[in-house]
Amino acid sequence: MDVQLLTYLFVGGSFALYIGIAIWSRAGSTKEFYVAGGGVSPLANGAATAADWMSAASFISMAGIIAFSGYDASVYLMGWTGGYVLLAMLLAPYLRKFGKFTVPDFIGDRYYSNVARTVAVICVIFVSFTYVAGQMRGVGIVFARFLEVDVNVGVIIGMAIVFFYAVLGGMKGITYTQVAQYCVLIFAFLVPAVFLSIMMTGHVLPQTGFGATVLDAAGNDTGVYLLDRLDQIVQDLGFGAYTDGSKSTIDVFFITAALMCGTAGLPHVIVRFFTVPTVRDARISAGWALFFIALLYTTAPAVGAFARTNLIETVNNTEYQELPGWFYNWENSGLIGWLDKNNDGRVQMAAGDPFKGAPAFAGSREEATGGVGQRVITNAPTDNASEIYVDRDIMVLANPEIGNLPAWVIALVAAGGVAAALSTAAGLLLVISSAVSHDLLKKTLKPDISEKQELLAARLAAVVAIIIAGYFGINPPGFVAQVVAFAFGLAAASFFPVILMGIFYKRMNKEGAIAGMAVGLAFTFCYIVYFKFVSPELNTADNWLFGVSPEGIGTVGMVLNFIVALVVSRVTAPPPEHIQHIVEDIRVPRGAGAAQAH
Amino acid sequence: MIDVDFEQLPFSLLEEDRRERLKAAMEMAFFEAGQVLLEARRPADYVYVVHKGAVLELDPTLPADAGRLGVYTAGDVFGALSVLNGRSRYRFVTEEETLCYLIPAALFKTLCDEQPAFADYFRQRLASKNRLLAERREGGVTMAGFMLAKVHQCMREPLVLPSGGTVQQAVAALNERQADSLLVERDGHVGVITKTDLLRGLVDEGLTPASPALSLATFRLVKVPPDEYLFAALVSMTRHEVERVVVMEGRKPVGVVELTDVLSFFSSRSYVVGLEVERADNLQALSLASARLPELVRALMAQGVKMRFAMDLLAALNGRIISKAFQFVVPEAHQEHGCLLVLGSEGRGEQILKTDQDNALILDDAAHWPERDEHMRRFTETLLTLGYPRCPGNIMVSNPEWVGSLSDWREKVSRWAGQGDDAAMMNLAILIDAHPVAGRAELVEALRETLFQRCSGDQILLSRFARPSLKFATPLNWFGALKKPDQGIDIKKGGLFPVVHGVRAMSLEHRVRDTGTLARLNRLVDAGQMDAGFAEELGEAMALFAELRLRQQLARLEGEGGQDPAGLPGNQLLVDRLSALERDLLRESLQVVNEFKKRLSRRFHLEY
Repeated sequence: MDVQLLTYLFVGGSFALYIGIAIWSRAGSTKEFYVAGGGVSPLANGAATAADWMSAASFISMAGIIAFSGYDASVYLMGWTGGYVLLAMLLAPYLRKFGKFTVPDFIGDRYYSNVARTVAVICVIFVSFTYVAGQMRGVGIVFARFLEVDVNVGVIIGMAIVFFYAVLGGMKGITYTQVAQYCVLIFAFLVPAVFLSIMMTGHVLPQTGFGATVLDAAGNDTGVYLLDRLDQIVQDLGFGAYTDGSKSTIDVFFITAALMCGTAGLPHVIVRFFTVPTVRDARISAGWALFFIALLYTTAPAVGAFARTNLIETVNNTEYQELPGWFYNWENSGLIGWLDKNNDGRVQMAAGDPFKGAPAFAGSREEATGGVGQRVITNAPTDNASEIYVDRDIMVLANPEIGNLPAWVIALVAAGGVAAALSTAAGLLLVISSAVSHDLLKKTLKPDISEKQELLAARLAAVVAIIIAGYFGINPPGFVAQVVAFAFGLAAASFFPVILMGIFYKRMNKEGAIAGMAVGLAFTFCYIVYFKFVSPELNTADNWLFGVSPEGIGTVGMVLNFIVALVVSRVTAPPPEHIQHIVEDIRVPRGAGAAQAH
Repeated sequence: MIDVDFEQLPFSLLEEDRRERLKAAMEMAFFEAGQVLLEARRPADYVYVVHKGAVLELDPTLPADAGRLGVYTAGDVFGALSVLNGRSRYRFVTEEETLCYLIPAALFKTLCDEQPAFADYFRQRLASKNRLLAERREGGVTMAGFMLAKVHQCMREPLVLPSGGTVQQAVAALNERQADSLLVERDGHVGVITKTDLLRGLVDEGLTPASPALSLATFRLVKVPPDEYLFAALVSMTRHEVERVVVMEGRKPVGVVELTDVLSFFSSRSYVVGLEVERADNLQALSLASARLPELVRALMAQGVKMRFAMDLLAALNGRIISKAFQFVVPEAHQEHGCLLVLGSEGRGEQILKTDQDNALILDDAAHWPERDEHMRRFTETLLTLGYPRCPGNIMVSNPEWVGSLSDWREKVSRWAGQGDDAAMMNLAILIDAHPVAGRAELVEALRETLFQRCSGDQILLSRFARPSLKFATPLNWFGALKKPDQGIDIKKGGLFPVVHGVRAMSLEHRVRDTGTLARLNRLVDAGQMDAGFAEELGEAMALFAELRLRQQLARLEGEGGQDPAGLPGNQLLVDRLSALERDLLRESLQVVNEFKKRLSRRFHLEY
């Protein structure tokens, strides 16, 4: 069977599995009304949380970013993992005790203020939108490659599928579907990684293979470490060393902190902690989730290194017509472009972009064929020696093909990519639609809206979210990255301090919270807009405040938020008595005293 | 090739050779959409069995949407009554292209004559159908306030004799108003003078027509408030051996209820059960009365009493029985220190036939009651003899876990809410339905307040609490049509439970103190949490589920030894045994349930 057929089989089969589980778990009329202790086990819940957490960005993009940026990309690994720990340990248990489902609800009630609630709602919507956009791009790439269509068509197909799945399907909310999705995605990520690790280093575990020595074609140990070899290769081509970072330490620190605090408030994951019955179960399932997430996150750097090594060794200085089939397929999808600057018919890799922006083709392969059969590119060439554009998001998907793995592994990876994108997108769409219809409309703008209208608003919000996300998926280059930085920075600078102080500092009042959010938000917003949109040419380390890039400035905004909030709350009246009681209660274990009503 | 399942009703009622005859005579016919198969008030030539497609039953005298009486789809039979009655009552039109088997009228009549069970089947269907149609037309209001009649519906205007009125004036007034008694007042006290009193005065005591009548009055009256149940007034009369009661609103007489009026008001003898319960002064008498409840239920159903009234009545009667049993078993000294609660469906007042005993006891903090456990054990035994089976979940006062002081209970609520697991949620759900039947009702209200304080603001708790309402699939398929599994659909899981539990969860959130689902719905509408139209639909849906279930349960009780031939559990509803109209109603009601589930899942964040 060829790859094409197998992919249909795997993607279709995994879909059938999810739908089957959904029907099975809903239709079981043999169950009792309540079953003591018969809830979802923490292990299953941990896997479901991991599926929610690991998006297409984690599955598809992260290893790709690592492959291309090397050490610099470690901020994502640290930031996202750290964000999860922060969320699981510092926020979720207390929000749970406060009895509020969403962050805006918590902020609105804790600060007895609709202004505070609205700011939080906007942050939540903004962060979620950005995240969904990432998922769309991921799904689009999967479909583009395996249906052999243009990536934009792929995104549109992805939009339709996510819409069907998340909005009409009613399949969200079923823990075992999520568990199945986790199994598919982790399997899909690990299997090729293990194969490649064995082929390249002889280690079964990619994690150890990453730090091991490379085997030659005959399977003998060359004694050269993988990373040393990779450094050698990329430096030969004029890139910086793979294991060296280009970012200053302070910048790395600030970006990591911004990502951590920004992610900590990710609403769709917080909710997962509330679906387990007891605090104890929530802790255990958080532990399992961390383990399940770590499985993928610790494998990603190895995958990145394998992919980069293989890519360069396969492609660089190879005659175009000698290249393996996957190269042409990805070229058809518009995610690889080759501009034969020196007209030697060979693909040359070098540091720098081969041309400006993503490849724009003169027509399909049949209509516009170059000298050796390549697709003709119309972009203005740059003056460096680099001839090839490779979209970094294809690395994980292309990896098994580049490594010459069996066809079923390639098909499995496709199914994994779809699983990762679907599970996260479904959760996020739900959050967006309920934030818009419930938190924003019902609780703030139009309290007298009827239940029917609320439902309609929720549906509309989901549709709009998918359309906007699809737009971002089609017009991504650089832009999504910028918006991501924007989103996480704003989230970190605005509502993270407010949540934290809401839980741990009973003297914090609404004046302090609002002033803090306003200052943090405004500062971060202006800084990012200035460097990213107003004067991008000044966006270099020399001009940055304290040497902090726009990606990391959210942390500075966050510190400002803390300071302003503390100062303002000291000079204004303390919050009402009953709020202070609640805050004290949240941190006292249940059972130590009678619960206080509010 | 005749593809009709002869193992299904009504054909299964035919003997083998007759089935063969039928098979041989049946022919298939195809009809275009919109074709009239049977015209109203025209004789029918055939009985139709739908093979494929759909046929509408229309009342041409009514406007289009009200006139749509039913839909017949594959497997349904229509036209049988038209054949039996000689002409069709309604018009039958194909809704889409339809294939039908035709049974010639002559053969059908022969079969009915030869096998009366076969004919009965169709006649019975007619009876139940007419009743459903009547209810539907009257828009939910039925004739029978019946047992739920209140005193003010049956009382007369009080006839008051002015102070200093003479015997003659009294007689004149009685004659003029055709009354049997009149009221007098003395020092702010109300007295009554009857015709008998007047006779006694004139004959035995030698009064003259000009004498003041006041001296004849009796001041030891039996009084009732105007919103008392009429049967309770009747009970009072029986107990005090009087023929009238005076209706008092505060200190003011507002009416008189005469025994003769009450007796003519009740045309049925079913009220006797209520009377017997009230009159019972020992366990044996109570047990006898209690055993007659199913009979009352059957009578109520036969009279077409609206489900919600039947439920109210049965809840009141069960409450009285349990309360009486409590008084018999528990020494009087302790009765005033506690509050006996009924829980679950009894607490909501929604059971019809006797269900398991679900009950609990709250004591005030001053109670000293060392032999409490022994008394409670005996109480549970007593209810068992009265026909209330033990609760399989052991939620009964014989279980010390469900007996405690108010502070014990508060601590329990707090613990359950903190635990948050399924068992704790179930306990909270049981407790929130608590309804006091004996003792100090304010204790349960105090407990409810605690429950609200702890739970109503906690959305995570509420979400966990509400979650089971989505646990069971609604028995509709993807296209919104009824599923028809062989073992029947579980109407409790598929219909009743989601409504009851969803409304319960919303009530917990919005601090609704009522326990009945319909009352809760009204409160939620008042609080602006649900639109009135939807609440009405939900209430109707619930009543329909309860009624369909009850009817099949009663049918099973009538079967041999109370055993259903198929051995089905009480909540399984066999769709095949429903009429086309009932199926239609059921489908619409289940769609309402689906809509409600959707709203619940948004409201309580159940989509995760």
